[in-house]
Amino acid sequence: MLLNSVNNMLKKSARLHWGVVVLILFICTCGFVLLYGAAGGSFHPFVVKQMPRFVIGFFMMWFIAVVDIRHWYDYAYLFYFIALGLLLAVYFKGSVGMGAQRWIDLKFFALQPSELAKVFLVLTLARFYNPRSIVAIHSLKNILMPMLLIGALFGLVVIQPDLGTSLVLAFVGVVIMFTSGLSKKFFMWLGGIALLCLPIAWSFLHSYQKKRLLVFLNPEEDPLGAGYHIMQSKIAIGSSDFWGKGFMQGTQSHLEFLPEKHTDFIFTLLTEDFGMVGAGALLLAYALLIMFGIRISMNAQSIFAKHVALGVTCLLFLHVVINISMVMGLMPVVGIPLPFVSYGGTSMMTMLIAMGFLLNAHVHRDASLTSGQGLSGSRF
Amino acid sequence: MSLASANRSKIVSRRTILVGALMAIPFPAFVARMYYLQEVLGPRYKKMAEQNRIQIRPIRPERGVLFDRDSQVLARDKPSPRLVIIPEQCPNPKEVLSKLSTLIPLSKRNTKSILEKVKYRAPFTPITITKSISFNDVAKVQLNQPDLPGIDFVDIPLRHYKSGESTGHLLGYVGRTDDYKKDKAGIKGWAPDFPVGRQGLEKLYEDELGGRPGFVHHETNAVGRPVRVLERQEAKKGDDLILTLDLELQKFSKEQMKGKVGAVVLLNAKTGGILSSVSTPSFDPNNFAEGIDPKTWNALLNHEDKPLLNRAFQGAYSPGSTFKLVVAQAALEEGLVTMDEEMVCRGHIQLGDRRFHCWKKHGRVNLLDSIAGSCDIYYYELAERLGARKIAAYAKKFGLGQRSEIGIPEKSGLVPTPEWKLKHKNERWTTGEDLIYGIGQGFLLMTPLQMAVMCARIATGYDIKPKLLKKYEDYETQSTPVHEGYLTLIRQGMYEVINGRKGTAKNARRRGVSLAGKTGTVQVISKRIEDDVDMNTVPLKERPHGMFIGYAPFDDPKYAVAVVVENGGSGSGAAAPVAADVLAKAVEVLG
Repeated sequence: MLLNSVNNMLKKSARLHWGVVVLILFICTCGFVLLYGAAGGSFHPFVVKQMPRFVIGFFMMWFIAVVDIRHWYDYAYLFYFIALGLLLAVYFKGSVGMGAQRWIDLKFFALQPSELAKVFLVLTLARFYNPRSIVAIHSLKNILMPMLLIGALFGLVVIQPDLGTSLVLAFVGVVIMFTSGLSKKFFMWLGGIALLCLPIAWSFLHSYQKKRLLVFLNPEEDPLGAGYHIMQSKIAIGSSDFWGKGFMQGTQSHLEFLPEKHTDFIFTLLTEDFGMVGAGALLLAYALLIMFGIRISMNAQSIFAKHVALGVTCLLFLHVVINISMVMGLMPVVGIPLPFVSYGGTSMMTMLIAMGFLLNAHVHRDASLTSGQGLSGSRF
Repeated sequence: MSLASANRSKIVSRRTILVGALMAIPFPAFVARMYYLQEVLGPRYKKMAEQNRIQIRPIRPERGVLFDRDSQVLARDKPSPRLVIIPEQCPNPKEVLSKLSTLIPLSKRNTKSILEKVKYRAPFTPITITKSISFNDVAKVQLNQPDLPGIDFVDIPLRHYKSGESTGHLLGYVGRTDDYKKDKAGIKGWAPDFPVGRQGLEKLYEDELGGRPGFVHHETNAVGRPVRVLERQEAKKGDDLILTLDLELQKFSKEQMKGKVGAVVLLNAKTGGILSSVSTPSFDPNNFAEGIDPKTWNALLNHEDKPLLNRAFQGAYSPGSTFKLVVAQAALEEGLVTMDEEMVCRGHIQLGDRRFHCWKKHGRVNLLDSIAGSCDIYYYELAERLGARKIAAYAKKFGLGQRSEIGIPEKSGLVPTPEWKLKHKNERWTTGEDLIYGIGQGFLLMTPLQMAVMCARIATGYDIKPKLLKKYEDYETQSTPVHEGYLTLIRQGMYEVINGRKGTAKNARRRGVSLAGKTGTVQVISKRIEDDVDMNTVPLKERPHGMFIGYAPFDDPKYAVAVVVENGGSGSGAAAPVAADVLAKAVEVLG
């Protein structure tokens, strides 16, 4: 039985989307090169710490990819409640990190449930929409249910407070609802209500969040305070040129003017050292990866696989776009890392897990998961 | 697959394509943004990147050395150890400081403020623990340095005045400038914490002594730690200055004034070079090198004898009888008196209902007697003949009533005229004022420097001006516009003051050197002190000021001196011995 399933998994490995795998490897390699440079030409401390995370994450990605999609279909809701439970645990008991409650200390690993929540929300919504017909999803109950699923996670993350992640959650949720085929009228209403809620949301923001938003509009006004990150990042990018200043020659990053150069602002480091060419190459890699993700979604048979593929692609897209917009001064600083490149375990793991589900959707593109065809036939 | 689910699948795919298309938008936007940042704003950001990267640190120039005329050092920058803590080398500053406080005096408040700085300053910047540390404490700390990680010494160049109090007023001191933009506007790279001359010669010759700052362009990281030197230009040391001052004579003069309040100015009579200039009580300019502590400062400021006042230049005194020389010269030259004319002194004369006293009944007095015995009656008469305007005109010829423009703050003194009185006091000049003008009283005011200049002009007949730098000490060829022949008479009178039978300063005779001079005793209160009163019974602050001007050697005047002893009792008693000793010493030292 076990042998059989291992054999099965190996067989499925042959069906992996090698374009996606190669792109991920390429982007991760870029990341390691940059981390090597950020440490001043040393594997220590960033690369040596990041490498095992990558290896474990890569294995997890493969594992997720080759496990039968019906298992994931069955466990989707369970995962949702695990994520919800963990977020509640963070709310009540989480250790305070960086002024916000985001972590659960598992002694050997600091678990960040909000990251898991992103992936599990995708699975849950895909699971929710899979068995329902186009008519069924327009019932009031079926409109409210996904919004509740999204809202619960969103709410728990926003009170951590982690505005960036909560907006990612909301955005991914809405994108899945959109692709599920809900009437466009619904989204117009949603958009209108969201706009009306903006002033209320503003009043709920923490002062540092408000400050970041305001400073974003004019970073020069406060170049040493809240605008420092954006300003230094823009200086680093702007003072570079087409070919860059050369590996480890970037003055702004390597002389430590640029804060968080190995984490959130690693794209700035890349641009300063390798210029528009280097930055363009990485952007192209992300764009291709996203394109592959869209294609996997298109080619998948089941609604579940389609939604999962699109959902995780959307996650990747949001992380890349928010991060790069931020470092280029197009968006306020929200603290979203650059997938596969930024130093940090949680982001690396989460994105590899997400890509695992993307590959899974590709491996199981022909599987048909019509209503009740999960392994255990569970229903909501 | 049912038709419905096929339809459903189609809708999802269509929406997915739409989402995918939207996802494509940001990527070209990023490229455009990068292009904009690099190509359009690039030059600006490149400049900002440079500014980010490069820090300019000024290098303090060494201050010029002040030498006396024999090239003895009067003031120079001396490296002084300063105890510092370097936070990044100190794992536990609190513990280290408490250990340190068992070795050297270190107050709790001081410790607290150091710990505050440790927290907020860049970890590589040394933080000063104490500015001045005694030699003993240095040794103690050095002995225990292995137990005091992060504690170290940094040598700071401090202005050091070897002769301390002796040269306090003349040299002045250095300190931070109050208005550095004004003082150092023209000097590129001058940092606000570089010391500048605040008083005396240090201030006067700031431009020469100050030097030019250098700079070093560091490449720094974001916390300002220098990582590489890009460019370095050494500072240019300030010019050394050789003064006319003679350290030995300066110290000697100071010694003679010990316990007295007053001033001594000794000039090279031929050049005007200031050989010594003393004002007592004095202060130690070394106290100012690192900013004076408020306690010492307040003590100086509130001292009743005003130690900060440079009496030699800024003390304005009635010259008393020393001024009679000028009156005599004026009367002779105006033809209003001859050398042989005799007047009778009965101790007083009557003018209207006012009685004008002489300090003694001199009897029959001619010109020489009048100088030697300092007869007031004789000069009341001369003054009446001359009138205030003529006296004033001659006084000006001897350098009175005007600043010497030597550069160090000085009082101009006052040579009053009837016009001056009308303008400033809105009162008419009286004949009585003419009379007391003749004995150097009234509104007339002189600084010790002016008295010395006056003396040098009488002694040499030249238009002597005081000088501070040796290089300016060339001989003045322009003659004082007074008749040389009459000056010989005045000098003879001055000789008689010391060497004559009736002289007022016979106590100023010195072996091996022939001196000439004139005493002056100036009442400080309107009440007249009778001649037979013992000075020791008069309250100190009511005793008259003692004045003396003199020169030596008599037959070839080389040195001219003026001495003022406040509340000294009399010119002959208090000032003349000082002047005589200083002149004798000058002859002994310089020949």
